[in-house]
Amino acid sequence: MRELTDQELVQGCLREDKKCQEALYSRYARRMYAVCLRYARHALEAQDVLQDGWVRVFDKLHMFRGEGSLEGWIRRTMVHTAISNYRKKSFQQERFGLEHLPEEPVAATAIDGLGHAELLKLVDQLPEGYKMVFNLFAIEGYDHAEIAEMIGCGESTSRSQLAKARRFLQQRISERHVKIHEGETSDR
Amino acid sequence: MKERHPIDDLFREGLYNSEAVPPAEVWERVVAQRSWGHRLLAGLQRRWAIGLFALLLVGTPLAWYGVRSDAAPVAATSASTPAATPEERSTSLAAKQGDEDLGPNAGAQTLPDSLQESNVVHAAEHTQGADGIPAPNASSVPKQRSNVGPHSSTSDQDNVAIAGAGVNSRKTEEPELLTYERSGDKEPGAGSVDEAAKTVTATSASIRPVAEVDALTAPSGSGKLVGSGTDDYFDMEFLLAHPHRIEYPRRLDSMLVNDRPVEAPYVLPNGAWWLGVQFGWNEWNGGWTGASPLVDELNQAEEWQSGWQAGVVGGRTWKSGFSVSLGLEVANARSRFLFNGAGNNDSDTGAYEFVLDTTWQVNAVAPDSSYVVYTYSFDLVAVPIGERGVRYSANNRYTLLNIPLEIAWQKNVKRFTFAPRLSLNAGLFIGRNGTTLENGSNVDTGPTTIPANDPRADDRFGMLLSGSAGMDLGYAITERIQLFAGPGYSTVLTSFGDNALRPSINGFTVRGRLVYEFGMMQRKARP
Repeated sequence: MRELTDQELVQGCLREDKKCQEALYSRYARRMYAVCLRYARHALEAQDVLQDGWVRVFDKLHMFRGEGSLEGWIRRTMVHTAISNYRKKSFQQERFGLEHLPEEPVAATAIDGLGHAELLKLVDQLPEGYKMVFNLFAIEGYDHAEIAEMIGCGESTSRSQLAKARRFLQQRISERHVKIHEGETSDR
Repeated sequence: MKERHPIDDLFREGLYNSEAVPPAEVWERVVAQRSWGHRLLAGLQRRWAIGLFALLLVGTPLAWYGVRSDAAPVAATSASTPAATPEERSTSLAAKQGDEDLGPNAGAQTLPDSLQESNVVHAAEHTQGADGIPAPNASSVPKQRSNVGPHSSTSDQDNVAIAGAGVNSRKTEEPELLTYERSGDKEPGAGSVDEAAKTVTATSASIRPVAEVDALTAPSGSGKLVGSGTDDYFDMEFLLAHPHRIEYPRRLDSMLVNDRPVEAPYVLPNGAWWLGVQFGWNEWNGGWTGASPLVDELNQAEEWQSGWQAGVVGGRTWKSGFSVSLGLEVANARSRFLFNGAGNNDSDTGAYEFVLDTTWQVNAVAPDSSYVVYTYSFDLVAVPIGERGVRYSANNRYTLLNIPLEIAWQKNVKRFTFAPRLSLNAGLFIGRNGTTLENGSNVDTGPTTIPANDPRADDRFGMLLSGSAGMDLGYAITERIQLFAGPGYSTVLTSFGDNALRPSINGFTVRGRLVYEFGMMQRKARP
């Protein structure tokens, strides 16, 4: 049986065809859930964001003009939903003394073997504000002006938080590398 | 330009296209959330104004039901209470007077004419009578009965009204069984109170002087007479909830003439008139509507802002809680007018600009037209300069005379009153200050500005009929004076002016009202 194209699925969804809606969900739900997991604090919140995001996708699908990829449009919708969720949580600036973390270069070998789960775990360890900015800038590819507008902060704040997020991640990756290295040494 | 960092690239490569399997119930929740009922509910939640309206719709019948449930049992009692026999119409009292011992078998005695306040305990409860004496919660009447005295009640109606008991204040070791039987003709003021009798037991230890009930909470003395102060006789909740609905004599002895209860001198009136002043503040939205080409221009130019209204209002509140009022208000609505004039060539600014007008002319030369003469002519034409590009700015003020007709329903809880309301309002423009737009003399010039009070704009300012809904919270400052305040929503329903161009504004209102109530009680003529 031929798989429906994105355009056909969109047309079906606009007709409120339940099968098309479910097919569209099945096609992109896993990727979108991964997006939500990066923005949310825990899995339950990610599921809420995913749910709200898909409701928004189906409600606003008529606004998709077909000029870009459907996946990109859904992804942006999910990101905006996650940001809305983030703003609702009345985020408070979290400080973990990151200002004192030295920015040290990460050894090339340190990033070897970093799988998806570990990367996700590292991102998840970021404080809320830093995680949001890092996700938007580093992974989604938004610039600081866009991020500032999206999350309602200044561009300088966005830059500052990105820098701190990087330092945090560098620190964690280095620590992991040291631990692995120590483990290998003791094995010998 | 983006300042990428190796860390960024590392995480983007690792996470951008990553996948994770969501739980299956997420899809079910998406479907449920997009269901018709859920979406409707979500829509209502987003629009608190609609939510407020729903609250009015739901709250009104519920509150109405609450009042009806108060009255229903007693009304049933009144209907089923058997008529008193002539023998039962005597009032007797089994009471110990002075320092005499009061035993359980003490005989019924006639209640003295001059019962002293210090040794009387009132324990009467009134039911809904023909004249509308409101019915307290009948379930609060104790179901104890005495078999003492020759004229003790034989009625089976447990929840009928009770008369009273008189004892002295001396304490005894044993509980004193006091019997007071009261019956009599069905009297308009007392209603079914006198249709049956009931005995009451009380212990002297529980007897205390009549509580001086606050004049506000139990005006003119509460007929819900004070018993032990700890038992069911004393239903302060009811008194507080119906402060102006109960008008009973303060003392039971005032109801007794020649040992017989008489008509209560005060009865509940069918309604009470009141007069008040009110002030409101509005935040207006909306704009102009109609088929006129000016609609779009006006809506772009004029931004409605806030307004206020103040006036007097009078009305009548019935014992059912419904009230109707009519008012007279002066209202003010403001708007900000900003218009970038595209040119008003009708106006003569006295300045001219010169335009070079060039033309080619082709003329055939006779006789065979084989020769053609081309003529190039140019003229310098003086063109008057209009008011091009002028930015008009004005603060418009519209003054209206409002005549609001309002229906409200009140539910009293202690000193507070909950009052949802609906109203229709006729508004007449009595003043217009500022600037508005009018069609220019020709299509090319576009709209022109004119003063808001220009007669050419009269048609668009016809009488407005608007509707509003709201909810007030009232507080009884004194027995007769109540202060109400609450939010509302008002919208123009229609206009009786030029339908091609008419204001269509709506907005939220906060209103305050100070009310003085007249004629809260009616004195009945004594027989």
